[in-house]
Amino acid sequence: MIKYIKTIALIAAVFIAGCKDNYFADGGGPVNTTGQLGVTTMQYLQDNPASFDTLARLIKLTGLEGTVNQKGNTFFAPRDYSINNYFKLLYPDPANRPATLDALPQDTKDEIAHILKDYIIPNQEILRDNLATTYSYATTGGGKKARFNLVTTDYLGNVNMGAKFVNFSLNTSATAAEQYKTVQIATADLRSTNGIVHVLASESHIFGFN
Amino acid sequence: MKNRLIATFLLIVMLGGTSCKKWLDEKPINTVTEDQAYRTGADAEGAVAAAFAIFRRALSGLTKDDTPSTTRNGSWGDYYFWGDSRSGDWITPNNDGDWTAGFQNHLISRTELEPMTNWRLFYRAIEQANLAIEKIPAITNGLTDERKAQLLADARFLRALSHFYAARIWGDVPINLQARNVQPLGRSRLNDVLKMVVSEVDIALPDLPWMNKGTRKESFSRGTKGAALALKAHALMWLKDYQGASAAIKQIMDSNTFRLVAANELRALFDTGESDEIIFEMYYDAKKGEYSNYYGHIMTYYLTNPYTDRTNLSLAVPKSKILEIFPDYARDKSDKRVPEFFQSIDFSVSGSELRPVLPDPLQNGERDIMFAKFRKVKDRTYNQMDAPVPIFRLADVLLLKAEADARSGNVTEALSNLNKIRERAGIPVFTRDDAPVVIEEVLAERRRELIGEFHRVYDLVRLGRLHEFNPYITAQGEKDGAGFFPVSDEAFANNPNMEQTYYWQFNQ
Repeated sequence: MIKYIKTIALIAAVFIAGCKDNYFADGGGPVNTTGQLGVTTMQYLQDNPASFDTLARLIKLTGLEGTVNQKGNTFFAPRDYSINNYFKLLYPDPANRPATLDALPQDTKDEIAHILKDYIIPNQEILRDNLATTYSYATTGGGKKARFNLVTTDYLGNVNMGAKFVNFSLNTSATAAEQYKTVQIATADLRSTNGIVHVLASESHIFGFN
Repeated sequence: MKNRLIATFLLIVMLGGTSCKKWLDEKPINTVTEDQAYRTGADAEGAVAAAFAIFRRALSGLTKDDTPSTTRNGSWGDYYFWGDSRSGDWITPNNDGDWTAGFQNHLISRTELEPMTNWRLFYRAIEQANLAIEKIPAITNGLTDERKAQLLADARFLRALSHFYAARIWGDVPINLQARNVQPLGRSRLNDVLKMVVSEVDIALPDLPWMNKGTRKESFSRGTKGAALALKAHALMWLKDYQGASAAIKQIMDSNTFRLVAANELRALFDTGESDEIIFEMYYDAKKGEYSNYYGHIMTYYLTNPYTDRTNLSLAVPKSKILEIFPDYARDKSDKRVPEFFQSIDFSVSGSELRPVLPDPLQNGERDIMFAKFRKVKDRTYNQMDAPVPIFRLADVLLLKAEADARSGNVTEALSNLNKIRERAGIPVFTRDDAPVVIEEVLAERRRELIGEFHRVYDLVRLGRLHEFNPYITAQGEKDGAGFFPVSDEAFANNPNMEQTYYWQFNQ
């Protein structure tokens, strides 16, 4: 009899322990808190030096921290690889490349500041859920026209199935005829304490939409 | 227990009873031996055609089916990797590690690149040609003397071409002119190989026709006088016999068999191969079952949606490089070749739909321009790609002649041929007439005209200038043989006479 009781007690213990509400499989927590960074946009960039340390330094160098951290804006974060390719383009010969970012000539710094503003959509939160497969438009901090659309791909070529990606395109044409260059967003809808952050795919994207 | 005993007994009986059949000793009745294979004219035709088929496969690359030491499943269009990838003009927008290693001349350590160091299929084509040359003379049944001479010349041309192509890739290569070889062959000096190529072409020339039967594509996928003369001229350029090269190309021009097509006819040249400009090309035709699938054609890696179902680019020329190579286009968009050779695709459209081609060929960014010189695919699943692979065409030999003439002091003649190409492209004629400047311009023009056509690296290696354009190769390295591909491990098996290229003895 004691044996049965022990067995039942053991099973009961297992069942009770098994019913705990902790998630182990999906990272835990209710859905609406995923993507919450809990820090400002700038702080997030500094906390991820593997992807963004050059970007963070450029933002500081050009004095755009305030603009990046402005309430209610959207920031598209180019990864360091894209910025590295930008400098490669700027200085094809590594010997002529300035040793530090601080040593960049002033007109280059101005140019970078100008480019950075095109990665910011002020006073507007661009979220994936509000976008569609048709184009929608916004104006960047640099005054250029930005274009957004969703594409769906499941890697097998099936139409309208699989993951939804956001495409961020910028009108780089100097004339009235619009010419958009497109970059895909790798990680979308990160919510910092001041706004939205999207991380851009870095493979073929070069800082400044070159 | 009893049942088990019975079952065991039955199993033993079954195995024992069947294993003694003499299956292995039975001779298949359809075995073709060498004696039976060369009897009629049709056998002779087939033998020479087979040699050309092996050569085509040699250019597209070794696969696991060809040799056990090869790791990769399909061929990759190796003619591109031998002739173009190390020119310093190319990038891999999706950061493919194998391509990057290829660009940077790290050709040994990556196992996936190992097949590119193996010349086995070139020598299989050579052996097939040798066998045909040995056996065809004895055939009398269903073969006229005239056709026999032509087939022999055809086989001789292919044998010379295979040696020449291998020599451009590996430098010193074995010369094999015998059908059955039991001696381990060592490598012959590059110059000796090239001299052999020239003398073989001279033997073959009288019996080769200017045109074969059939359409242009069919005609110029086999040996002709034009192809043989182009081969001879290329070989003579390596031997620095510039007058000889110029004379050979003059014969091609005087024959009036070929013409420079207009810029708007270039599409037909690269899509179908039915063009008056083609001198020699690799034959494909899906209608006749001659095509390559995903593997085997370099177009797989150049193209994306809307031409194939790939969504990103694997191999491309960066935009800054295009503007550097085509300065006239950078200045006023005059060079008609840029829109023919490059395209920008609207990457904002989903990969599961047909992406539109943008009107401005260079609208996309630095790493997003598609190399679209070869862009004919049968359908978006990559299957049945039958675009031809040009090997010699008139623009190529005209520019070669311009270089040869400029080097032998005939600058006026050089300028006339150089300017034919420039006029077709719609760029201003070149007027400076001091030889070194003209030679430099001819080289730049070859780079523009023949970009992605598997000539650039050979041009640079021939002139010892690969190190000027590829930062991963040093001047001393190139003197030691860095411009050539290393010799595969397979070539060393049971061959005490084989030697690795000096540079590759110390560099991986």
